[in-house]
Amino acid sequence: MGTSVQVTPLCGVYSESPLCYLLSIDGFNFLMDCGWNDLFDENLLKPLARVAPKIDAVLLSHPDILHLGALPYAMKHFKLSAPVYSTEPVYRLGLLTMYDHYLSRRQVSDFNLFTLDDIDTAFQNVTRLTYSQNYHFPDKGEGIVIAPHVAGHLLGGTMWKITKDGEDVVYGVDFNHRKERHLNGTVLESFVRPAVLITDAYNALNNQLYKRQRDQEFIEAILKALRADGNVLLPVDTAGRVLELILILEQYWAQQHLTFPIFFLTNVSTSTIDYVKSFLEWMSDSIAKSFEHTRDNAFALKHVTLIINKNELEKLAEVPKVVLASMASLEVGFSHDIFVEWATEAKNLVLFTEKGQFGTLARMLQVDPPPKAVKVTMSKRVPLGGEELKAYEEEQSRIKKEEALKANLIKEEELRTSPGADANVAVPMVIDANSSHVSSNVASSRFGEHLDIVIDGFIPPATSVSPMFPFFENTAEWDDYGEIINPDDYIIKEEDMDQASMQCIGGELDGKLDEGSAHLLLDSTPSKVVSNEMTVQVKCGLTYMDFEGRSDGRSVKSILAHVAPLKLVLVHGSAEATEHLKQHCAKHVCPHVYAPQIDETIDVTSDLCAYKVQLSERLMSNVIFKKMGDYEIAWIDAEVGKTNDMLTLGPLSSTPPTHKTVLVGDLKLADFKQFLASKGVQVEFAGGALRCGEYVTVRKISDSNQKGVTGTQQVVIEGPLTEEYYKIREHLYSQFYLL
Amino acid sequence: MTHATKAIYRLLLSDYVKVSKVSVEDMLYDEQDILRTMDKIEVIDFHQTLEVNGIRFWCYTAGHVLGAAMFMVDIAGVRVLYTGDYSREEDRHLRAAEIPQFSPDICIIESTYGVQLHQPRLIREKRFTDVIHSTVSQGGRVLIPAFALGRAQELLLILDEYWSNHAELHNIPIYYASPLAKRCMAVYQTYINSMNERIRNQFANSNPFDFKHISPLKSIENFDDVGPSVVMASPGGLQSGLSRQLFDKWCTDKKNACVIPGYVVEGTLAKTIINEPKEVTLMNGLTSPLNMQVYYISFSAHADFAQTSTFLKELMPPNIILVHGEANEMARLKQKLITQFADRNAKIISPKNCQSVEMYFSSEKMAKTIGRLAEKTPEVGETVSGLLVKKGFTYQIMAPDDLHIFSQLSTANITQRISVPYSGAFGVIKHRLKQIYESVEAPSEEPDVPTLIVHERVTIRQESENYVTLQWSSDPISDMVSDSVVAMILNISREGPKVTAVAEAKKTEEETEKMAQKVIYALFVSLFGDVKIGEEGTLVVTVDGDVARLDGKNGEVECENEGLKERVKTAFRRIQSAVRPIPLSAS
Repeated sequence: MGTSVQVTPLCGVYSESPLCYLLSIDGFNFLMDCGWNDLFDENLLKPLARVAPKIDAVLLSHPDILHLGALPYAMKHFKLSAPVYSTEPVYRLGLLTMYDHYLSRRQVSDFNLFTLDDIDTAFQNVTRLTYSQNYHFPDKGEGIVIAPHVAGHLLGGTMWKITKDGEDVVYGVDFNHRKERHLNGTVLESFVRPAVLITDAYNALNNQLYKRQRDQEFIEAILKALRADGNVLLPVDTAGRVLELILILEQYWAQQHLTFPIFFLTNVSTSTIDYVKSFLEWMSDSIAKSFEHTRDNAFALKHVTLIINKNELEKLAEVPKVVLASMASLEVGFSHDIFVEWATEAKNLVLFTEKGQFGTLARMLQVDPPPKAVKVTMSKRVPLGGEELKAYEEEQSRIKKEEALKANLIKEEELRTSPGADANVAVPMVIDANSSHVSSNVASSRFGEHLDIVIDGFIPPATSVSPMFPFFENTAEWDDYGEIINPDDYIIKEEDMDQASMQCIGGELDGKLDEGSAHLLLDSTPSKVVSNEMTVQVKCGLTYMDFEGRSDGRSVKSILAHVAPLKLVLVHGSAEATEHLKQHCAKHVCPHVYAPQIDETIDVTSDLCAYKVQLSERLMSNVIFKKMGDYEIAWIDAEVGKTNDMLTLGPLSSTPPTHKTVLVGDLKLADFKQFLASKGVQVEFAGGALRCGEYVTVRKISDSNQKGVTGTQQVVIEGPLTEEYYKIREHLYSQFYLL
Repeated sequence: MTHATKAIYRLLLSDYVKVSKVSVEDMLYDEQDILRTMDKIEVIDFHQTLEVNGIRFWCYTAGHVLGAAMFMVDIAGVRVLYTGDYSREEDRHLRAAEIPQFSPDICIIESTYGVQLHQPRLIREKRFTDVIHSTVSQGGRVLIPAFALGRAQELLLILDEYWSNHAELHNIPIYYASPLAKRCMAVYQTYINSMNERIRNQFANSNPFDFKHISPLKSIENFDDVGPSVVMASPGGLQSGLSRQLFDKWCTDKKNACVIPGYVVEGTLAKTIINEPKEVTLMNGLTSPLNMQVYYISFSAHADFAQTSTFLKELMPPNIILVHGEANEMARLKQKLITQFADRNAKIISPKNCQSVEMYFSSEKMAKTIGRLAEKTPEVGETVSGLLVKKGFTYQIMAPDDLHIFSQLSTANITQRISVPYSGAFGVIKHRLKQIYESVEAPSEEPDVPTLIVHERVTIRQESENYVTLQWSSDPISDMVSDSVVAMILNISREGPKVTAVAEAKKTEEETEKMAQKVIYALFVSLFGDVKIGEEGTLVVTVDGDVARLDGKNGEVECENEGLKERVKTAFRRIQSAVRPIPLSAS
């Protein structure tokens, strides 16, 4: 019987909230994406909290907050400890995205949902795979194979194909079939008839302009603002779609020899581009090709300046410029600050390239007509001074004292066990066991208050009565050959060089941080957050252009029709879009379309029956295959036998029964027309039918929209009894294989 | 090839074209040819599985140079591993060759180093840095002749790191002199992800191939030769070019040193000076004393015997094919491996050039029966009939109606409608048809025009006074029936109504049987040649001394040779079905 497959959405259905779904295959639980939103709303993660401990593997598909934002939090708070799988760019850029968000938050609030260490820990568990790498799960997941495939949209973007017993479950969200400057299009269309396809309805109601036209409008809008002496702000993500925008600008600036400065401003911009430069394998063919031919790395940027703080911008205050700054949601980060500064001037332009997340400032500004004024909170981290500083220092010293006390108690605890074990040598005075126990308690409580006065590192032995310095006798062991030594102590460390360099690495954070940000992190000057609410008059131009790099509604529909999954699960998309796509697919793609609610488990186990048989050599020697494209096909009549508990098929001992003839082939009337024309028959289309010669007509009555449902084409050939009729019938037969 | 290999390939070959200064006719290929190959090259990433005509393959890191790969090819479940040049030792920037997850059935493995053993990497590196350190600190110059790509980068990493750790050396310059230098570095700076953890961790800080103490050098004109320095220059063999120019300049001073860092080709100057001759010939033809120190420290990344034998021990391939090695060395390796794997009875082959090795693997062909056909798992003895669909090396059996569900193929029905001129009475057709066919029925519900259905296949309707139409859905038997009906209708109109009762000469069962036997005998003779009629209707077939007895009634065959038995049986079955009347009822 088929493999059991269940899908339970944990977040992100019938809405555009972050993506997070539970997929269990024969009891093995996959967490597909682990997203959060830019607001870090803990309520969204409640369903995840319930299931987190039983998850066996996490698969990430894109390096942005909506797809992996909740990973550090879930690892820290929900006992999520499963291994994580992603591609190298998703790992790397995802890590940088998390850093950027953390740093942006940290600058304006006492953000404490997770720390940088939590981010590092979470990403330590990531196993990196390359596209089309088949990863076989060990142990519990025996027999399950996962493979990432190109999804487009973001660098490293992945569609996951999970295979068990020859049945494919495909998870493909936010894919893009179009080839872009830096990315190849998705390979979703190459999957044929997977058992289950999980995809999103995000763009079901959106249709896009042509790419070239869109690019043109984009550039024109920017140049118009710049030439009017205005500044242009592009709120962007940290390491996702921004790469495409950078390439567009870079290319146009080079073509037109423009001199307006462009800045890419995030907390991690330089390291982002450094990493991106080494991800050429993951980018489009044209980028790879240009590198092979000219050694020019497309991301060796000539016109875009990478900056990690706003000082640079302030230096160039009067010059019209383009700034790409994170976050796209305008909630926090550089884009937020710049927006507040620039919004009040009509000559400036804020150009949104993606739909803002629900409930964010960006979303508010994207409504039509845009609001005249918006309320924003300006927050700043300022160093403490005067009274506050004193209070803080006192608090710190109190904490330090407590910690020291605690540490000492622990050390004492250790000491009580360790020298106590070989106490015979170290402490000759052995009082009887009971009293020693009591006295140690007494000692610790008595010395508790004095501990920080006493020299650091000195801890009274538990068994001693009064404080004294510990005394350890140097006990060298001897045997017949002299003192027993540890040979390792005498080995000359030849790896010095290695170690030296490794050490300096080890000291740093795992991911590379820009100096400025590192400075911010390591800066231990006490500080606090000051915020004030203010109302910003929005006078600047606001424009939204779709550069999200997702397939549009029409393409999604045609791709789904082509892939024709046996069962389809729709997630992530507004309620209307989901409902619309559901209706459409039920009619045109496949009868089993599901769109579950949050926490609703749907069973998409295929109702497919299957069993395995062994084909005997004797049977196969009599089979004559006919080749059709990738397939070879034959009719067999076989008798079932059994060897070693294995069903086998052998040739029939009696004459095979006659069977209904099967015609295999896909007749396209247009192709057939050409074929007939090449054979010298006069052909033309007349009212949907193909008129061949004088009298004969060939028609198709199957309706192509229902292909998924009916499957068999109905072809009609009619005409009077003539020689021509038989000739055309002959040609028609030649288009099919008869079995 | 892998991404990095493709980039390096392009560099190396165009460099060859530029360097080889032969006449146009002698040129094996030019820049245009290289460009044309670039479009043909498909890239594959490590571990990425590709499929071509059902043959799947993927590659593992080989650890020889950047981008080097070992290929695993899977043909219908038989796996072949080709190692190419590989090294199991992790160095400064490359990962060691991986041990594949699955054991291959055949392992094609290089044997360059045969039974030799390498010095440990750390000792080699120490010798290397010590030699250089002592030379430059005594005021000498160090020349390292090396290929521009591959091992050179490893040496540069060692030097750069050594310099960083020794502040006293900072005023001594290191030059990387090669016309390719800059472009090679671009490749190395990009494909960081094909390298080992160490480099990738360093990359988190800064690109380790952005050397701090090494500067590129374009040509000797830009070289300011004052005081001690270290120069890595190509070519590695000291035949000509920059490395040779420097050699000529420096070879007389005994303070200077030349470090040869790897394999050198026979007949080159580098090979000659390893034996430390007293004198050498300079490029300008003069001889000069060789006073400079010469060291040979091999950094070439090929597996040695220890690596090869542990690699094979872990993989346990039942068949090993040794390639790429000098014949004697290979023979010694073969002997040693045979003794080592004696208990596992692994087959070890070392073919000569152009000698093909053939191996046969009988793999069990498994098929998956799916869909409607598989609703019930059949018992032994039942029959299974359906479409066998082969894609690549996977087989599926399914009902024709399911074909479109499980594959991209679709089935079709062709309905044929043909009009035949006929102006006679419809009753005549019916009468004639009944004489030929057993089943000639009128449709169950009353049609608007006179209609007949023959064997539930062909429908005949009298559409008007002047013609009748025949409609049927295509298959060989229906086509045949319709043809006979058409022929009959045409005959009626030609001959006019002529109703004669034909006295049917009824053949007896016996006669039919006899006829059939005769036919079978005749066909068997044409098939097998030597066929005799035995007693009670048996046929004795003799082929090459094997005798088969066929019982003409039930088709039983007695024969000792299985192959012949099968053939006789099949032939008999086919003849039987040809001789018997065609069953018209659709099954």
